[in-house]
Amino acid sequence: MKVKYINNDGGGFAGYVETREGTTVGELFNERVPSGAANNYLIRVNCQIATPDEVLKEGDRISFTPLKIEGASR
Amino acid sequence: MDAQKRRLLRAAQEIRSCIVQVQIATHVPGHRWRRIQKLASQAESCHGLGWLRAAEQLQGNLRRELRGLAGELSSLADAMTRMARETPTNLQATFAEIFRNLLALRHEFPEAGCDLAAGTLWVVTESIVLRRVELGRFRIELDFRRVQDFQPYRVIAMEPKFPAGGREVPHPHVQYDSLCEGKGKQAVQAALRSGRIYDFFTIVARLLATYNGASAYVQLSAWNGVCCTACGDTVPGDEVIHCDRCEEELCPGCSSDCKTCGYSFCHECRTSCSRCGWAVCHSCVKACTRCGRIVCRECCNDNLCPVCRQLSQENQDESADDDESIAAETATAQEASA
Repeated sequence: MKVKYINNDGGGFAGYVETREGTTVGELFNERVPSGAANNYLIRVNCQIATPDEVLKEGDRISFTPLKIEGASR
Repeated sequence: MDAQKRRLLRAAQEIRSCIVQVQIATHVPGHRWRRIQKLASQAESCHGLGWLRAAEQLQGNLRRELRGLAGELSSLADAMTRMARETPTNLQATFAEIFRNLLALRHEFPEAGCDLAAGTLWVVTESIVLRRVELGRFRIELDFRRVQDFQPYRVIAMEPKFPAGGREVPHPHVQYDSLCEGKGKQAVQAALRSGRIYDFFTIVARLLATYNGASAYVQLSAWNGVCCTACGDTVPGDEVIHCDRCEEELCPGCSSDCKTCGYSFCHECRTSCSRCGWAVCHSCVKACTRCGRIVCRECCNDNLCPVCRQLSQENQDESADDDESIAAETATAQEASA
């Protein structure tokens, strides 16, 4: 099935990705952000708070936004 | 449907238009095409009437307009290609997605709203606390009619907690109402270009909730500090020293303790003993009654500075010697007369 995956880390990524039926939010996170820890991200499905065991559906919009994004002074 | 939802629908429509409009690089040259059509019609009429010179002139103008149109269309195609590469059409938020984004803002933030007249969407963050420094809430205000412009949003401190010595920095990474996006810049721009309004506000909120000490307009360590009235440096609150006489706020480098009483004083309220060089306040200072030199109490003896004291002592010794000599001569003279 196809879901819209958005990663707001660094340069960011936004695109449709194929994933198997029954994939959970946690599984997609581990697959797409293997070096990250889920508790360091805001994880939203269709702009709503999501739990790791929530099962994704066709067309869902999943976003991962880092909790820490450093600003600057210049 | 309530009034708020209707406002959000209108806002979503306008945001979607902005994204699509930029995707086709603002506008097609319709005005120039209408001018071309008019010229062509005029040239045809002149030919029909036998006005060959007029027709020739009109055809010259028509050729120029056609070349200009060709140039504009080529630039437009290049701009569309560039925009498509940066933000593929299939990744642009649809009208429905934008509307859902706007509805979701009310659940993500304590406050969120839309001002159609002003063309703004806004959210208010939770109170921001960075390393135990409270900075208060911030309002992130997006001008949704300029969503494709450079930084079309402001960050406004709701209860500003400015650092010592500066009222233009309400947050380590905000100057006046402009956020320096740092590592979030690309993510912010990508979110705005594709109409991901929910992501935009979320990213900006996370930027405000993160401290980067390596690149801050004002360091948090100096946030609750005080400006030294002598040198202007910012001093952490727990290191501030108050002059015991005038109560001015000082850094440790600009205050000195009186050698005699031990209290702290600023440069104006103290002096130095001309003998030992130690700092001494105006209350503990003494002036030599003979030469007027300023000395501390420890260096003052019988209201004399050490130099004058020594001179006085020498004079006294000389007097004592003279007295002894006179006494001795007198005694000798008396013995002789007896």
